[in-house]
Amino acid sequence: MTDTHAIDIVSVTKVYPHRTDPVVALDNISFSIGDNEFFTLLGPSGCGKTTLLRMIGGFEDITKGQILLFGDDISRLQSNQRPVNTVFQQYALFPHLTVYENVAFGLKRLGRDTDFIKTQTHAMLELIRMAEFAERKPSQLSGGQQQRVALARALAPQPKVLLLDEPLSALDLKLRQAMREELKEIQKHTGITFIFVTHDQEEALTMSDRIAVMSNGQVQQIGSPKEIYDNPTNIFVANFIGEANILKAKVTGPEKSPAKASKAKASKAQAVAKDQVKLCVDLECGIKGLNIFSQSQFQKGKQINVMIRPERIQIKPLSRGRGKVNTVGGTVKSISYLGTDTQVQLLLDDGESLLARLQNTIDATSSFGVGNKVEITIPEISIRALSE
Amino acid sequence: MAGWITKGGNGAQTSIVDGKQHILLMPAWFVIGILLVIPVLVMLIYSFLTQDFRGGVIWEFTLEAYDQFFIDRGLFGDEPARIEWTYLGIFWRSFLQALFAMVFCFLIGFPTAYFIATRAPKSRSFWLFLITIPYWVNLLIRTVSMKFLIRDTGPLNNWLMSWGVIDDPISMINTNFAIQLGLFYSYLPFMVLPIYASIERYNFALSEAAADLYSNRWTTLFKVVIPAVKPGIIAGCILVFIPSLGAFLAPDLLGGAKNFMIGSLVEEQFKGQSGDWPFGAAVSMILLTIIMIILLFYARAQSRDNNGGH
Repeated sequence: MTDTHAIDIVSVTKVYPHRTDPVVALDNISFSIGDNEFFTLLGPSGCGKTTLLRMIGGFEDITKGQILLFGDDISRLQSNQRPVNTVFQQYALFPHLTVYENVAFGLKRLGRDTDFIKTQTHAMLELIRMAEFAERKPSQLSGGQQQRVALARALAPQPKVLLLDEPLSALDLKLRQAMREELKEIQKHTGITFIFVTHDQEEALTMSDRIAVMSNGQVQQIGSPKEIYDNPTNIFVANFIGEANILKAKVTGPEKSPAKASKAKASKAQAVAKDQVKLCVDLECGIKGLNIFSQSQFQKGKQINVMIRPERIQIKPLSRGRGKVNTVGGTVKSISYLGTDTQVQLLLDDGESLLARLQNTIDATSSFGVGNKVEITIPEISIRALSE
Repeated sequence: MAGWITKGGNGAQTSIVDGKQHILLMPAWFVIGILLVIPVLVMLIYSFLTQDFRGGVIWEFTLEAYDQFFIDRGLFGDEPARIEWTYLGIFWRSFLQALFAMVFCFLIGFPTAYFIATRAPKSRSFWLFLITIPYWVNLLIRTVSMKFLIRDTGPLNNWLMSWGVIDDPISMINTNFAIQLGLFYSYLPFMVLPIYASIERYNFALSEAAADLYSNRWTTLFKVVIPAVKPGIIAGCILVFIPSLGAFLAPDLLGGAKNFMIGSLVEEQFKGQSGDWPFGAAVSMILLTIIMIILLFYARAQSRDNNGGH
């Protein structure tokens, strides 16, 4: 990744006019996408991600703002004047043309010379391993093959940016997983910036360099998959990416000087989250004096939400002993076996419920059953304060 | 229909196969048999019979009618046989008229259909309704009205003169232009409706894909939209061309005697005492044969299209 921006979204707003209640699809969005990046727009349906992608492609007008492509304003260009290409959700292959003619379509419209069109089209068909299907019509291909042809067709004119509109949503699970790998590989191989729209968080996490999580026409958070999973900024992001326990807490002040024993752990955690501050909070469930990470500063005494991922919670049978740091008592409400993991629903002593996930490793023993009293440890380095 | 049959109980579907419920197919056989096969057979037989001079036929088989159509033996039938150009000429003119009517209907009908199909779903039925309103009136009345509209002292000429576009009325009655106008007005919906149905099913993501791949509006139209809605266009063309070829109201009322078309020629043979029924039947059979040949070519092109890519 270099410092060049492939795309700059500059205060872009999209309003769908309506007599009584106009819909704001995008609300003053600004961010940049780097050259060579695999960038994902992730969000539930109706969040504006597809609208934004279609605006970059030139299929929707921009109500306000600008879109820059490598520094040039493309906001007012027609889609056929923009050096970006799209892989459409339902592929939109031309049914009356063969695979070869579909892939060559863009190059022909650009008026490239015949020899170049031939070599480039064949190279694309090789890239997607469809050379032997060149003379087939789209209706004679399977869904996965059509998907690959749509990709080759969009890549053939060598666009500066490739837009992908939920391209995998129509495929079955196995094929989808295989295509993820293939897409990622093709992106690396071609070095073209990919902007990928999806509502599938797993897809986003496995493929992207960076993800923009969107909801209600706004960007909630932009970051690498790890940043977004580990340090979600708000409840929406925490809940949308993976599973999250949201607990109530009260800020008691800035960071308390850490105890000597936990100093090593604390500095390790520091490396994960550089631009974050530390807060001292009391959890409402009874654990007091935790030093946790936060992206924003809160005043002392403020009620905030904190998040912990289910797999970071530790559960032990009730025992008597010393050194019970960050531990509360609770009851096992239900246990579901999920193959790689076991999911445990817990009821804390104060009535709050908590979700935990334990990996079914070789030495994992289910030393407790439904109804058992257990000790629940919530490690403070895994807790994150969420903004409103 | 299938649902209705299966309601009859278990095994209802197999009983159709073993022939017990042929009665259900009776309406279809009735339509095809009584209304299609028998009339055409009657026509075929009549075309080989001898003309009775008071109208009607004499039951003596002869090739006289076909001979009259194709071969010229002079006024008294004693000259060496030459090709008779009179009727072939009428066919040729009718052909051109039908072809032009088809082209004009397409040029106006396609944009109209496209316009309607791209409106909001709610207002589409309103536009279709507008298109069909004139067709609630009988074709004869519409054609006669057209005659009044375009005659020398009619509203069109008056209007053009009052605006100073022309000084003297243009005589439009009894011209090819008048026939074209009549055919166009008679058959436009037959072009609009099938094309509309095709465009309504058209996936507009294809147009976006074409634009994305550097096509301008015209290349998108010619390289993507038209090929994708081709079946509707062909259906529309057939539905306009074939009735135009045999039309007799528009040519008769608007074209006058010198712009004779096939329809008028046939009509003439069955009208009054001077008619020649076998000759009228023969002309009809020749027209039918030509149309069948055109449709066969179309069907073959169609099946070649569908098996394409191999």
